[in-house]
Amino acid sequence: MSSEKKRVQFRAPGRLVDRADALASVLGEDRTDVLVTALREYLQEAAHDDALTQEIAAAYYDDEITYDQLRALVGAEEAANLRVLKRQLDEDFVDEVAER
Amino acid sequence: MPRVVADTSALVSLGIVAEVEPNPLSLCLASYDVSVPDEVLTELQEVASYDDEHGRAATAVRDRTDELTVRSVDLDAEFPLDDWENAAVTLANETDAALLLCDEFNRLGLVHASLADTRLVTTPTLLSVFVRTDRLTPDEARTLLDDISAARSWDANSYVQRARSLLDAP
Repeated sequence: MSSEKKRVQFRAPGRLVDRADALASVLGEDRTDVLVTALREYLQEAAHDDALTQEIAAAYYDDEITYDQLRALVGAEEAANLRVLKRQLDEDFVDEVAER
Repeated sequence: MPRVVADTSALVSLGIVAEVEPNPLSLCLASYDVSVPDEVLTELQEVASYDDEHGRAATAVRDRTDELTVRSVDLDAEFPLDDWENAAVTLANETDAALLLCDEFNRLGLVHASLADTRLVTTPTLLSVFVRTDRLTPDEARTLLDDISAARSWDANSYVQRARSLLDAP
């Protein structure tokens, strides 16, 4: 996969840059290689996490996992959001709203 | 008419399909007394300045401001919510609104927990309600949800996917 390279400039904590340089020396690469690899892996992980959260949510909507299991997987705040969304999918809830 | 409070996220969703006939914004204004707090209107103005689909959606709603009931509320600074969400929740509680329309999927737990007797309803649910009450056909509702989902990047959201199947139900 090749794409046009873009020059970027940013500030980072000194110790983080020192660690990147140390790893670059060990691997016989330069700082840019280390930073690009780190960024690429981080972005992949972040995208994967969102997809995973959606799968976990789907399992909860379909009653394949309990609310407690959901909470253990995604944390209390996200679990509370997903509980509200699951209620939106309840046919009785939609009927109640429609009748008012 | 039942009183409904709308927050900015829901108004933008409705605005995306405001040019379609029939559309859920017009149905909403015809079926409910739709109230918004000042903060939501301010936020809507801000979004309306964007040169994108959300900006055009917010503009479409803003052009119908005279059909909304705009009210001011005293914000409860204790609420862990942004000002416009805080204001929408406060207005819903103060006026004992039947529904609060909100599409902030990542904040719904907090919004729900802050409401007294008002039911929280998302735009996909509102479309289901219009199907139940024969104001939209299932086909019309599905097309509207597809258009809103595309603009709001909801396609990968499993809640929206299931809400779409709910529209298929008899």
